[in-house]
Amino acid sequence: MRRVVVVGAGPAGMAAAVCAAEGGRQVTLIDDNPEPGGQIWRGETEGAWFERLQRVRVARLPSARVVTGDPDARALTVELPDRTVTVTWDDLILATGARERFLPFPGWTLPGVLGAGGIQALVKSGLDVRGKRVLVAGTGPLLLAVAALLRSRGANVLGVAEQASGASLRKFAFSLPWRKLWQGFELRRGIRYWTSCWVESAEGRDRVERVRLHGRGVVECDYVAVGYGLVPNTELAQILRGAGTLVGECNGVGGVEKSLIEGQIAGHAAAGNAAGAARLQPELDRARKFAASLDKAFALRPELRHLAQAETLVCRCESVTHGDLKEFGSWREAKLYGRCGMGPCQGRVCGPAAEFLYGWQPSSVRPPVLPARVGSLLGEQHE
Amino acid sequence: MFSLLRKERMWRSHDLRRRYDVVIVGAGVHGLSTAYHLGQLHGVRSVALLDRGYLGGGNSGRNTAILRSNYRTPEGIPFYDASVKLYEQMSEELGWNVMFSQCGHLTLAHSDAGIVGLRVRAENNQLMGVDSRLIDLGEIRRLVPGMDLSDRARYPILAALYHPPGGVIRHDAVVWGYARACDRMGIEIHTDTEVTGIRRNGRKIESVVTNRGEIATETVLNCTAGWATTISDMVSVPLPIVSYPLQACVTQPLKPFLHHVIVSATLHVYVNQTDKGELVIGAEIDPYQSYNMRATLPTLEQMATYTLELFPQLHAIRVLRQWGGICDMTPDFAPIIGCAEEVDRFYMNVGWGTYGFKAAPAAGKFTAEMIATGSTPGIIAPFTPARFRAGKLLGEKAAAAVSH
Repeated sequence: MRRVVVVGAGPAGMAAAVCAAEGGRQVTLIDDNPEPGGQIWRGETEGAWFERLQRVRVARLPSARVVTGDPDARALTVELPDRTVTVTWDDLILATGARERFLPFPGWTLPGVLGAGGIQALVKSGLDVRGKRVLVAGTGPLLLAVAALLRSRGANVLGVAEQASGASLRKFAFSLPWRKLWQGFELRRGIRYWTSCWVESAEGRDRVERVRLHGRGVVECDYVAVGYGLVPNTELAQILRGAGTLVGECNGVGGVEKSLIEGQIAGHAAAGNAAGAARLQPELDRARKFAASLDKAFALRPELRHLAQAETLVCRCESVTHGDLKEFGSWREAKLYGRCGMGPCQGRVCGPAAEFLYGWQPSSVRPPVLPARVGSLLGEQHE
Repeated sequence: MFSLLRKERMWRSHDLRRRYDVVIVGAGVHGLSTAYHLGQLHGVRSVALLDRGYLGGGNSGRNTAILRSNYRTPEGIPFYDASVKLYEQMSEELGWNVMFSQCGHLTLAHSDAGIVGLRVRAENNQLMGVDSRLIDLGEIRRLVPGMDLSDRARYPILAALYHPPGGVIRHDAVVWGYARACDRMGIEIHTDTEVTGIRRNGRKIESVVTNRGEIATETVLNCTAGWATTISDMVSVPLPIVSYPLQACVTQPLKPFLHHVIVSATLHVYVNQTDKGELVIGAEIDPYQSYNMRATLPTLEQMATYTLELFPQLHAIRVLRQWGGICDMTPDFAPIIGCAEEVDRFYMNVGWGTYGFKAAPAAGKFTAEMIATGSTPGIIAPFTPARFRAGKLLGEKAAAAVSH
């Protein structure tokens, strides 16, 4: 029986695994979290896709990190908490999701300054924000979802600072179907929402105490959650040199609906169900159109390139500042002469920032995809 | 600090001139060292260094930066000794910190035969004035307390060849230091300039053809690795070279615990800790010939396994990056330095196998002398390309951690 391997158990990966398994394929679902759901459904257990995943036979490899892979051998090396296994595939579906884009501003590395998705994940895994003053800033629809979550967990949400202009957002809102527009209004209810507004700097002695907002002065707070959109995780796909089908956010950020549709299509295709895949095409076209309109509405404004001061860190792993980096002409130069992107994150955080700030294209990805324990690399067992 | 470093460009870019006295193919550490010595010692400054990629992007930036002179043969030892001595003076000579740390170098023996082999090296080294001696477990324990010296290991450590002047250097700094010095003498460095052909008329070279145009010259030096045979084939000079990938990896930084370079020829692994705290781990050469610089999993597994045999306590530290370079191996594991027999003034400084970076200052210095004066200095005479036809091979086997 053909073996379908799905990397990533967020919405796209779950949908792919479910459709491939329902089509009679032997499916292995690999994810770095203990439970399926990805970032967006973290901590959730109910919903149509969770139920469908329960009903089918899918071999799950939770808490598993894919450290590298070999497209010729059609094999992935997967680090589990206690051992390393090799997983081979006949069909490979990559649903590796996306990560947040951080843009450096003075004080962005202070404790208490978090990513918008970051605070969301922390709150879902137990961070107590009751009574804490939290400011949410950055760009994109994620900010509203984060603000709503924080409020539901008892935080005092001071407001949402959205860098996109009101005009751009109105245009976007008019293009939305009623259902989505209503969703947005529901999330926004009771939350102050400032457009054309962003965090210029964060200050505090040992942790963040206040932030300076563009055009709105200083706001005292306990946490700042800042996310400037999402960046697709394509490193594994690059190491695999094009093997596998990319679905979901790693194939272009576009939200949960696009992820589910792409996942289903890939799952059907892997199960040989061409008709099932083709049926979803109109929905996919709509979802991609929506993704494109998101990109346009929440495009990053050029002013954000000028927030970092000379002494502001850009690469926090290797302590490389904006002043250091301004001297270089390319990502390779910055790496070679400045050690930018050479630390534990291997450019995952500073790379997208440098791409926006300086227009650099990152150079090739080197294995492992994620830092791998020496002890995990001793030898392999076949799963 | 980095901004200070970049305020003045370390080297400038130029348009290609129509003619140079000497064209050096390959602007790695060997090409740069040769160009530097041509300019500095012989006043030859109409030199073009051509590189198909970026400066230091080949093996100069891919090696594990280990320097030593504890070789095996009477030809190898004085040559590498000269090279280490040039490295010792380099910071002062170039006015540029190359961060040479002579932390000491230990080659481990895991068997009686291994001890005998190291004893031969120690005797040869001492005879030729190189500081190198066999030490026992007690002294190893004193120098490297973090290493597993128990008899429970798969290959228990029995003794080591201790070579105090050996150590590590910042390899990029060496490249930049030479490049800066060359630029100041008016020697031109042309990156992203690929040689596509060499025109000759009978025994004489007429020009070098590149992707940026044609350069008239009578003297060409092949200083490449990985592409050595490609360049020599352009003038129909066959070279007995086969190419193998060699890989390395680097871990996350740890508090300093390892103050020496540790090499094991039985385990085919070499480990050192950088000033920043990362462990740099080098591997055995790949088991097959290839020009591919891709990092592979079997080699990473091998490096991990052997590193843990020496340092079991490192099992939970994480590998950040793995990469590869290409080693040009000759039949006797010694380099090829000299003028081609078939073509006038087609010089070669190639075939360095896994020893290239250590050799660069001396190789460049003596290659420059050979090009400038037309006579071959005695110290590099044994490395002549004619030795393969004459059957006078050298024996630099078993003088490294990679298997020969």
